[in-house]
Amino acid sequence: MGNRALRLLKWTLIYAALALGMLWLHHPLDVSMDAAASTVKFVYQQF
Amino acid sequence: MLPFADIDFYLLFFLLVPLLHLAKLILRGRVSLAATIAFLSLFFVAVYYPKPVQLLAFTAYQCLFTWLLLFKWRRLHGLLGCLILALPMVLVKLDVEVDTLGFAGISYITFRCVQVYLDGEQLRERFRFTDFIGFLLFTPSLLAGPIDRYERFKGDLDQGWSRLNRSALIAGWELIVLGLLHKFVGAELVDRYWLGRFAQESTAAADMAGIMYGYAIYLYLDFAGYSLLAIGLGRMMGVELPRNFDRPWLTETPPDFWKRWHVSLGDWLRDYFFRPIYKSLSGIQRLRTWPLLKQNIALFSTFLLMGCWNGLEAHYIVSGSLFGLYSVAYNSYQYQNRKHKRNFWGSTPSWAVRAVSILIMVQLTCFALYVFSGRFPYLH
Repeated sequence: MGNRALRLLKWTLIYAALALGMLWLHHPLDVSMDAAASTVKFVYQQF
Repeated sequence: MLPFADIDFYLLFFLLVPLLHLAKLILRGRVSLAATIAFLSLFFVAVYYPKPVQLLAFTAYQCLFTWLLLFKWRRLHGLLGCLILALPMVLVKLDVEVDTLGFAGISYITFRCVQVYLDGEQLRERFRFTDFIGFLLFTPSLLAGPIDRYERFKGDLDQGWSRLNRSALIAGWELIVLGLLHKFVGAELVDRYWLGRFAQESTAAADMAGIMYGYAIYLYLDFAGYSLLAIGLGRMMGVELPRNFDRPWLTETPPDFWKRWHVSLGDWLRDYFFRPIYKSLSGIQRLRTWPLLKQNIALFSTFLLMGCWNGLEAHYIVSGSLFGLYSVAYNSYQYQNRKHKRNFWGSTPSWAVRAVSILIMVQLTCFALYVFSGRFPYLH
């Protein structure tokens, strides 16, 4: 139980740090989705 | 697009990895995992990788010569065989025809081919082109390692589609999250808010110290993060790439450092450069009675080669030489201690010896990495 709680706490902190860090440093919400859309379309066409 | 460099790569693989796991249901029993991995790796290179023609031509060259060296030219001297395989990389490093021959990741593919060639005696029976192409071009480790070994990689693929399971997905995902945190948050923070505060050309002691420690931490976070991303994606695709970093800041001795920092390169250099050189030196009659000299020549040459491999600029060569000097000094110290049955530390408690060793190694390592960075102002 103790190990499970510690693991949960560890991963909560990791995800929080990652989310805050990415929002602060890289502005992921401003990334254009055009490239993503073309990638998905291209892969779809290959199969 | 280069692996792990931009958002397109992540989107592509977050689409391809679930497709690969779904393909398991359809392809199991019909197509091997090895063939699927080789196909996916070739697909990525041909469609997305910069300079695909060069990379595919280089792969054809390596496949041809590795096969010839393994099965037809078995009597050729090992050094000559290695030179044939390393020739394109050497030409690129010497700045000859860089635009025609060069592409990102040429060194790591060359290292893998040299490994297969030099381990040929054990691998010949188990060599298969599908595995070999997957091994050379495996997307997660294509650009900057970790440098895997053929027999280990093939061992994973031989287990087949059962490698793609829920626990591999979870473990891979966790490594990717940690890699993103290291590379895109940790390294970025150090670069922007630590290194960015210092004048890069300054010769003031405080600035130099700030850049020296900052760069070492930045490089660790960036490269360890990249390695975690590669290992994580590899795991999701059924391949367990070797670990590349293991708490390097707890290093106590120079040999210990290369078991913790860029481990796969350290192991490769030990097995395929240091040992063959030491073996050749052992054959020289005049050096028979000089074991320490033989070891030190082999050690220094290994690290000098590592410096030259990074590039023929002064800062890379000096940094490689520094790592070589550290190893030679430590090896000589150990040799003298063994020979004269001395213990330099006397009755000092082991925790104190450990703390002092770590402190010394951190300074030495940070200085060598500072020189490596090309920011050391007295080396231009």
